[in-house]
Amino acid sequence: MNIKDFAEKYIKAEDEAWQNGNFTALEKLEDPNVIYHCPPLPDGVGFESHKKGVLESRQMISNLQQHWEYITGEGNLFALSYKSSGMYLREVPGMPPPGKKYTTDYLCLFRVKNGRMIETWMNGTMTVLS
Amino acid sequence: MNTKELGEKYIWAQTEAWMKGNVDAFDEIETPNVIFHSLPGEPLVGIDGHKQHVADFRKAFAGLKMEPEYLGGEGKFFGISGKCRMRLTEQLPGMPPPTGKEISGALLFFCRTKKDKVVEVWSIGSFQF
Repeated sequence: MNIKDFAEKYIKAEDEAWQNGNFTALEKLEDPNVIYHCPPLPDGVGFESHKKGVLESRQMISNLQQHWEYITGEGNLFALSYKSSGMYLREVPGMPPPGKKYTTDYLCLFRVKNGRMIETWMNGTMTVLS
Repeated sequence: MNTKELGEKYIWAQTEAWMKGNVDAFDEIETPNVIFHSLPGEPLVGIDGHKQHVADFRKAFAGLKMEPEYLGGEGKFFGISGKCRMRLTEQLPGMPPPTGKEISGALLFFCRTKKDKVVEVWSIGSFQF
């Protein structure tokens, strides 16, 4: 599988996890010890940690819309842009106030080893719409 | 040069430009027609635009500190992350208001190279204030 095919599978797996709560495809693509670097949050370590984060976020956010786009890549390294919008249903420290629509723009880098994602760096901005 | 050497050279150029104002350091590592996608805005095209962008932003920064880190690379690509701290003295587009308090930021760069020069950069920064 070339890196673009891998990236596209990852996008579908993320959508399936976030939209339907189905992690089957994502689990096949991520190393059990995958590391997510997403400052200022502490590093997330492991597929189970990622799954927990998605499940918790699904309970907190309504009208979540997500759009991933493959930017480029080579070998075992690729980049995606990620845009999303939604609305928090309750107070979450560091997140937009409940009831206010927000948008995000992120740049994400991914490193793959032996056909599994092993490390991810994410960074971006969140804007609260008035 | 391998991707790690290119990444380290790019870190050197960024540090020279941002910390010392030596924007001509980019001549050592970027092509004249470099494309700089500073998400989510419109891309900057050309090294002169990039130099001007850095020069303009530096004017509004005080006490800038940077901690860049090479993340990894393969083939034509490498990634760099960085932490920075500064005080803002002027309002800048996409930045928090200049309160005079120190703010910290996290940056991420993904660079495409050709013939030992950076030809395209995707970058994004987030700030805590």
